Amino acid sequence: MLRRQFLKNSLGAASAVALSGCGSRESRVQLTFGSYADPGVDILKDEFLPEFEKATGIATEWVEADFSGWFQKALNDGETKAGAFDIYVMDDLWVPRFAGAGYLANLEELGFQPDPDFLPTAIDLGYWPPKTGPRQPGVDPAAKPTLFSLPIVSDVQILFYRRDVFGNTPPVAWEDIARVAREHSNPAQRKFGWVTRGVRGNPIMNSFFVLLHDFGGTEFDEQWRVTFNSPQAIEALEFYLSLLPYEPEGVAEFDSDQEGETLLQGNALAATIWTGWCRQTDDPSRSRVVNKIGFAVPPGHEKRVAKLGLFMAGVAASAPHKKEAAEFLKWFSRSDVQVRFARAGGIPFKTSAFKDEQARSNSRWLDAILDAMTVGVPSPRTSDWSKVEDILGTHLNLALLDKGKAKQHLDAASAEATAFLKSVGYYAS
Amino acid sequence: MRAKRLSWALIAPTALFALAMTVLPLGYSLLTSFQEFPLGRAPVFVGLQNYRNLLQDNNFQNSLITTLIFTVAATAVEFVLGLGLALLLKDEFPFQGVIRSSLIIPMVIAPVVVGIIWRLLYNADVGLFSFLVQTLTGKSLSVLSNTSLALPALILVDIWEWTPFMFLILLAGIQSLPTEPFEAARVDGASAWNIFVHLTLPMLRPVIAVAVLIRALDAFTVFDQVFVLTQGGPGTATEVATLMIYKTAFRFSQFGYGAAMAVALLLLVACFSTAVTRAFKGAS
Amino acid sequence: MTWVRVALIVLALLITLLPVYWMVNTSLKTQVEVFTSPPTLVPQNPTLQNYIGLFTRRHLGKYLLNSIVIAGSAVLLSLLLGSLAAYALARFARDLGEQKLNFWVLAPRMIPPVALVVPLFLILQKFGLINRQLGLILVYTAFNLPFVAWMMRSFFLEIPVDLEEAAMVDGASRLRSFREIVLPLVAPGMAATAIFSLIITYNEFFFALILTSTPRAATLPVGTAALIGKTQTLYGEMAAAGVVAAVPLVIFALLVQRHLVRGLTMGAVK
Repeated sequence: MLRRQFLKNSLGAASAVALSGCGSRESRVQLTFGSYADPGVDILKDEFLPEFEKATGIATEWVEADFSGWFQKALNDGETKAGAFDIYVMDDLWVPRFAGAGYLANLEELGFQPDPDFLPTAIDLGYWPPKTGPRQPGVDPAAKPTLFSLPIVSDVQILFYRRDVFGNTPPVAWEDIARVAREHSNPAQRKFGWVTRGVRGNPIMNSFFVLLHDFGGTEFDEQWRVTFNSPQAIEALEFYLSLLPYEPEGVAEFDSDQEGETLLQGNALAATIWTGWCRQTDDPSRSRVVNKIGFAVPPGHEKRVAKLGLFMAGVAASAPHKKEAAEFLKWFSRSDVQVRFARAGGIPFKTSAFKDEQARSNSRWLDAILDAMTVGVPSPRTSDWSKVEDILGTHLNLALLDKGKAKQHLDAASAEATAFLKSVGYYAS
Repeated sequence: MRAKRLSWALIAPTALFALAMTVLPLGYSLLTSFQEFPLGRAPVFVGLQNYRNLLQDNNFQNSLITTLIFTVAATAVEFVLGLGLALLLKDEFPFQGVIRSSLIIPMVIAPVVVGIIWRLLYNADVGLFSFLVQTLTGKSLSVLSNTSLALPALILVDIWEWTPFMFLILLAGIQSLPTEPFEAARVDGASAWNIFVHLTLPMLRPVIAVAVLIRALDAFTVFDQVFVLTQGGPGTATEVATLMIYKTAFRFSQFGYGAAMAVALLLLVACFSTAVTRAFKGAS
Repeated sequence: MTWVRVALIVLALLITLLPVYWMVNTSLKTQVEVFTSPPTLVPQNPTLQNYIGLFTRRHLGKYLLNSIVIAGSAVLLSLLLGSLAAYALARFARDLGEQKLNFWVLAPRMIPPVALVVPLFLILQKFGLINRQLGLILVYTAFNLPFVAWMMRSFFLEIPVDLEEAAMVDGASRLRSFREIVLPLVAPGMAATAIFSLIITYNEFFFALILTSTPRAATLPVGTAALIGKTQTLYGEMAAAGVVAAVPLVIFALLVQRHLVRGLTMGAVK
């Protein structure tokens, strides 16, 4: 008897709750954003969305999930054309996938025109097919690049270094890093000259990327042939491995959070870290090195580059409110709004915002970020990069565990990547 | 007969759901596995090509082996420990309510949080375990970046998290046994060990079968812990099949190939479950 | 109670609770202290900020409510329907091929969720049940039913048929014999099944992720996972979320666990 009562009550409760959700008609338009969680979007979410609502009367809702969770939801939404989201916040790595598969609306058709104040390296990432570089098979080599997404928050890997050790001038060459690491490291006392990410796949690949390019190597050539085992690449990996004695022991299991934490705890003297971490270096509840960290473009060798990893925003092809979504993007990309975003502590994507005096005095890392963005290099623009990155990243991880055998591992990586690319039709001959 | 009709009425909704939940997705997966999904174009029918590729895919086959090792090791240890705990706690004792509830806390915590906390504990630099080892032996402990220790470390997390499940089921099973046979055996002077082996275990057989099968099945599809703790590394030491399927289908957007992998895993699991079921049936 | 037994119980408790303690410990620390070496056993600068932040900025209150309502309803429904089916299976279909039964019940659990999710999404979308509590309740009930039936069947099988038949010979109806003889005997099994189903449903992540999107229907696992940032995870908040999420389940276990042991002495039937 008791159980039937329970059953009735809970069914009743459940249906009441469910029904109460139906039938609520929205009197004004609501824009739904979907994004992954990251401190980088906090200021946009907390301060600028309410401002947009007040300015235009369009309501906003921000739906967040973890990085891979949001990726799956966005894929699902795009594939099923469910229309649950108006704006997708994406990693720039996703743009080839989403644009190529038709999940994004054409921004030019929605009336968007980029102006020269956009950072070129940032806005270029929004075009598909890509403006420069080889195009993946299946993509028309003659097609005109179309704007499918905009940057929404800049993110790039820059050098975080200890001003009290390096002095006020940042190191410009990788040899400087190696030298300071040699002179100042003391692993027994937990003082490490350098720290990096070592987890297989995307993390270690991101850490290695800058070195690869700085030593003159690339991932592919213009015909998509894998150049991962070129002499320059091998030299870059050997240098990367040469820093290991000055790094924490468990580096092979480090992802960006442990890499950053080692620096913030004061145990590492330098590292290349994403700009989302800049603000925390001066927060006592997060950092033991308040005011001691300097920021610069990562050091160079033959070349000097930085790795781009921007947050991009696109309008969903199945968005129920495309016009309003485009309106938001236009509003947020206005130079005056970007200036205010930079002053509030966000990382903008327009040059004028980076140069604004007030913003620069609030956020002492903006100059370094601007310089880094200017020499920024993105991941290769193909939807198959995820798989290739996984292959290369696994072999890099193995080299890290071996603390050597650079050529052997890079050769194996190249062979496996080449076999994969061949199987999906990259080499027509 | 009224009873027969009543029984089918009772079983029907359950059976219907089970069928729908099995046939539908299985069909969908099979269909997907016979196709390829090039970017931005319609799916292409490729027949058995994905399966042919699977046969040559060393990485995937290794992941199946890793998954099998993980499953067998974890389930076996969990069974032994769970049974031990159930026997230890089946009779009355002070604070029994609180103690029993405390022992099941590990399986109550959200799996992703379990992963994060153990990641912190295992951390070679700031983890508690490494700190303890360092105080005792002076050397730091790198578990998650050690190719031979990583998989056992993951198995340990699974054991910690799911032994309470075995404990729970087996305790309930023991408690549901009728008392008469045991009283009779005690009156006859049988030893505790004999009672356990010849009376308890055989009578518990259906419950043990259920517990082992469910746990093994869940171990086959382990994902959260591996994803959070090692991402399949170091190298490929902890790359389990579900991780490969997830990466292939989602990160690399090879839906067809990923579906084929899923079907292959399903076949492996079906074989395993049949073998286990037969083993339990035979032991009577 | 031999002291060997006591020692073993204490050991089990220690091993079980150490990581739990670490979770609570971490939840009260600031991020800078989480990564301090040597690790601190007790927070040196304890803070409640992690908990406060969860409820004010991360909607954890709503996720908690959704989880309780959705999981609770689904488990209740599946326990009711599933137990009835299990009884029928145990008593009237004993000869049903054990292997076939096992397969059909276990198969849904064997299929990786990724295979199920798209068809399910499309079906629910058709009925307008995406991002609604009712949608998830139905999905979870459907998932739990075969499994509950199968587990309860094994508990029903443990009870000799003669017990019920003896009662019915004495004049009791089948329903009465079920209520007064069988039910109390399988109470431990039902309690165990209830606890286990509830935990699995409450902590389910993948379907909740895809079939819901906003705090209107999203559950705790989704909200907790969202604490993993792209380049950073706030361990303190994560740990706090773990603690908050575990509390309802622990309370439920405390309430139900007394059924795990034999409630009434049933030896006096014959």
